[in-house]
Amino acid sequence: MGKRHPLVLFMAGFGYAILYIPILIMIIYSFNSSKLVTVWAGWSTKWYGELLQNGQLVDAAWISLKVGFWSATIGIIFGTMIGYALARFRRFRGKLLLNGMATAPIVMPEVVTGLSLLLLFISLENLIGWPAGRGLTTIIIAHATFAMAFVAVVVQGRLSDFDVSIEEAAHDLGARQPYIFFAITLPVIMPAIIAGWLLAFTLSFDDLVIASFVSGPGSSTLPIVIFSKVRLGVTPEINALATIIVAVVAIGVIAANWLALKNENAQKQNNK
Amino acid sequence: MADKADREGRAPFLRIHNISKHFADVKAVDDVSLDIEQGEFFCLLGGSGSGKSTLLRMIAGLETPTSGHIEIENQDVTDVPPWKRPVNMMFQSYALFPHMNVEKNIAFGLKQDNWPKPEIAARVEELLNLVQLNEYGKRKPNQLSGGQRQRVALARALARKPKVLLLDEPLSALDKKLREETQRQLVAIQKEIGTTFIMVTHDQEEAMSIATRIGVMDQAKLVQVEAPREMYERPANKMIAGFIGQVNLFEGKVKGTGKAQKIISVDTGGILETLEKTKLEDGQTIWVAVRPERVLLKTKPKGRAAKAANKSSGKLTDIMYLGGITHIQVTLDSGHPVRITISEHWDEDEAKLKLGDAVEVSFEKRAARLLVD
Repeated sequence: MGKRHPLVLFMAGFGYAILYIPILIMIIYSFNSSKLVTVWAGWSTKWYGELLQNGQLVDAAWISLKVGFWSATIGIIFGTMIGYALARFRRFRGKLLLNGMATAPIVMPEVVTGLSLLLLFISLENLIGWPAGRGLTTIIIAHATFAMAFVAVVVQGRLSDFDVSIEEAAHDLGARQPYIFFAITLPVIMPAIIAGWLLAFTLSFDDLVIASFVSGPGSSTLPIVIFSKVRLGVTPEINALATIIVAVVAIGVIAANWLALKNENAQKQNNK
Repeated sequence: MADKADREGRAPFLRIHNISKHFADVKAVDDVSLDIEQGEFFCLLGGSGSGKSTLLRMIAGLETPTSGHIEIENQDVTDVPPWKRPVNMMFQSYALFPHMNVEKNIAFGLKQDNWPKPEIAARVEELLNLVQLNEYGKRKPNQLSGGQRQRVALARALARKPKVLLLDEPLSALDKKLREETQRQLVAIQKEIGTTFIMVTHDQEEAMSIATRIGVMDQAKLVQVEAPREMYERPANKMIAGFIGQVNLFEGKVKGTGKAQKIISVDTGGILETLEKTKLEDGQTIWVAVRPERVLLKTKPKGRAAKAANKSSGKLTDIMYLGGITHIQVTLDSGHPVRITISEHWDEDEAKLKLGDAVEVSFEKRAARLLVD
């Protein structure tokens, strides 16, 4: 590789600058010792300390973690099922439709998803008395629905370049379904499932719109709390909190990508 | 092992009986019948889409035949699911379990059969010895070379002591040199354990060098089943003659009947003669096939043109020297090309030949094979 053309460097630099300068400024200001957000008064980590003292924020963070964990976990179970089924269906009329239906929640406006789920929960409560009111459970269910869609896409993608003869070999060597699925298929696609979990967790952790539709008293997630606080003015504390969230999300996304990449390389090696 | 009394008049070891497989309206395998004996190394040879892999997969039980049945040692296994059949398969992609090490891959089938642990360990050891991978038991498939993976796949497929081992293009992923070495290993292993092997390949040289018998498939049908030498010497039709090795085909027209019957070459107008006594009809079109190494080459005698049977004159249009052998192409005066292969110790006369020389080509009657389709 020779030297890169300055224009390419400029384009890359400019693009990434627009993407990341706002976040960088926020991170820098989270270390601002001044109480006023826009006035720089030297470096300090005191807002991170304050954050831990703020019961409301810590509670909300805890709720968000729980929601993220459970919705991602439910999401990978059902998402893997859908992804596996879609990858294994033979071509038939309507397969495209099923495919589209599995991935629609990804592109569906969140307001629509949130509203429809809220209506579902209310009518379910009227009909069978469950879920009683809105709270942690309803947010988890709501997040699990879109988590499923993401996991289904990731798993289906992984299975599309999965060598079916591996399953056939297991069958030939005396194994039967569902043992083959658990002993052979699942371990092989596990990195994709974990990547799907991380992605689902990250998305759940970020979500404001759907959560605000289906949350109830005492179940405000972190984005809900931040949003309501920010409407009264940005405090340095929020900057610190947002920085932590950026870190959590970045770690999640990087880990998911790294897993996918590693898996892809292993796959390439196997096919060599 | 079957004892003598049992052997008399018994059914063949593996019997494929009028088997067909249709995918939607495509005939993948069309009414194939085949008997294979215990201990054979049988090669199914054919181009892509000839149905050879589908036939193999039906023997394994991975495809269900549309009609017909398969018997192993007199037992109808047509409806026996693959996991219960006394047959194992080695896949083209090897299909090793990527998350298991070599030992676990080999032990997988034994675990399914509930072998006791110490026996599994002993069997795995034995197989690693057989394929010479003793040092590699703890490695994962992606830490092995292509040839090593191929041997793991072989060991895994042999682990349950199948009565028949099926091999689906087992060597196609290896480079040429490694492939030849592996062919020899495969034959040696097959001899050592005595298991019946059925291998699918599209490589005729591979089939020739490995197989005890070859079955050639074309367009879903089994066209000819023969030992390699017989197949080469007596191909059943033009397709096989061209598929197994190289061949020169001379189209001929039958003239007359009885004793006076002659075959006239369509290209040169000369007479073609063979030793074969196939009954032919007046006016019938036939082909005479001659292998390139059976064609004789001489400098054209000055003056008169060749008039004898199986003889014609032409120009030397191509010489490809390959060391041990030389491929020569002669274009007959009629324009028909003839391929000739000459081994290193050709005689003086041939050695002097140059491009553009006028030559005389001929072949003996016994070198020619008469083909009717």
